[in-house]
Amino acid sequence: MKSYFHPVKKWVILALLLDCILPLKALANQAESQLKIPIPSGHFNYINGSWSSYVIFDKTNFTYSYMDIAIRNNESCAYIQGCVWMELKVRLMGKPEVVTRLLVERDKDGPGRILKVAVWVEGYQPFWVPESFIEKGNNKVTKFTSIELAMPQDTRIGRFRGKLATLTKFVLRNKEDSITAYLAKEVAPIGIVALESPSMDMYLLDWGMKKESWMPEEPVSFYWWILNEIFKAVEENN
Amino acid sequence: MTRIQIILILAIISCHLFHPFWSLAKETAQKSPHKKAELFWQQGQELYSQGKIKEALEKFKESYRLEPDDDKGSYIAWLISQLPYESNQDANIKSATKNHHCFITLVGNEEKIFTLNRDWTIAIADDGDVNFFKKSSPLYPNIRIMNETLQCDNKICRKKIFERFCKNFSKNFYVKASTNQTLGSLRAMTATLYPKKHKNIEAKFFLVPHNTKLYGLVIITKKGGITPRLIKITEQIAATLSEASRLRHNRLPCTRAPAQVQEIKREIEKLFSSS
Repeated sequence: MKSYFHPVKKWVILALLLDCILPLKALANQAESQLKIPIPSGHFNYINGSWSSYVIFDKTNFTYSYMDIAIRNNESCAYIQGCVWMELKVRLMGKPEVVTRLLVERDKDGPGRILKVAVWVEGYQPFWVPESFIEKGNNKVTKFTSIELAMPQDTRIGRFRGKLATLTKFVLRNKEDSITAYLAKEVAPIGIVALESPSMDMYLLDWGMKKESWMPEEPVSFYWWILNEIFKAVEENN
Repeated sequence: MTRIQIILILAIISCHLFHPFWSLAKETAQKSPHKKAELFWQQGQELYSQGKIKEALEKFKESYRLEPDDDKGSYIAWLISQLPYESNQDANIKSATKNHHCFITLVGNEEKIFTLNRDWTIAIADDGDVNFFKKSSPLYPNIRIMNETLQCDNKICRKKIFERFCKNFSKNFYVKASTNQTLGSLRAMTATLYPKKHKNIEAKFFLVPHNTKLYGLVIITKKGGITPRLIKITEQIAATLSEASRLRHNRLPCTRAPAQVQEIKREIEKLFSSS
């Protein structure tokens, strides 16, 4: 039998259906609730397997959250400097854990263009975000904020969190911001040990190497994920 | 047309048939106190982000009135304590609460942390802010000790701190209110910290019933400063203070700083303070 539907329209129908069945908005909010991640310009280390874990105080919403960031592996791509697979794990109080896997362009100042994104929200299956979504709403997936730090003020070598580290203090003061940051070259990928700004405070809890993926399983295609969720919803209703 | 497409179309049609009912249900839900409270809270947050703190506070209070919640209350109490105090008659009373930043007390050194009894500790800040910490409470590590050259390890030294504290303090009066839980502590504080030998200090402890609860109130002022009028004013604000105090003692969102944060700060400070 000939189908009267254009292939694209099928997805429109599915999306409409999904809107009726799934609390998608809530899910989208979870994914959107990711934090702005400050990246000190020129201090980003693309070391395979490196990870660091932070506690963050959001001064606007008065909430504490935890964020882990990791470099999974570097790979060659269409860009001159290559690309890198990163993972971010965010735990906001009272909200499910969100893991974002990103393929980004390597830039000397930190992650550049986002090329691929997979999201896992606790309680759901991980899925790949369609490329069209990334192009349109790149910033909704994750927010990297590059910060330019002035000349280092002081450097100390000592034990921090039980590990030997070289800590350098930076202070940035201008009309808009007043940031005090402590960076350590041993801490990859973003180098931050502590960062205090008018909008947020961020402290390094731990760092290390060779961590496995934080996604519980491999992500599936977004459309397959939608279908799965529909089937699950139907099954639950029955 | 395939069978699945027919099913899909039927599903969409049923969704759209259901839509008017859904809208009605949604509208009704939006009128519910919970929704209204949520809306007020959101408006408050927007105003706060624009720097309109007082207006934001009104919205937060409205939200709290519709839907009382400990977290909300704690946040409001914290916000009140952040407001600049006005030059009106009760300025001194407000100043007594101005330093309750997230229940973190800045103290000069460890000697300003007094162990009251097996369970309670008092921390006295340089500006006269006094807070109670239950040792078993997760907030206990939130007492932040500042670097100070004065090392206090004997009674004479401790007395000096007391005197300095009292001297600074005697110009104004201080009000500390608390719930039933800390009544004992307040009594002890009145007796322990302000003995008779401090001639310029007068302390009065009394109970204030409010709603179904009993609040303790301590007024500390210069000698002869406790007048009937002062007592009346403090009684009026006692309930507010007590409530704020109770909420602060319970669940203040910004006090949930993981213990590691203080540890990390200390580690960095230590590293950079050493030559």
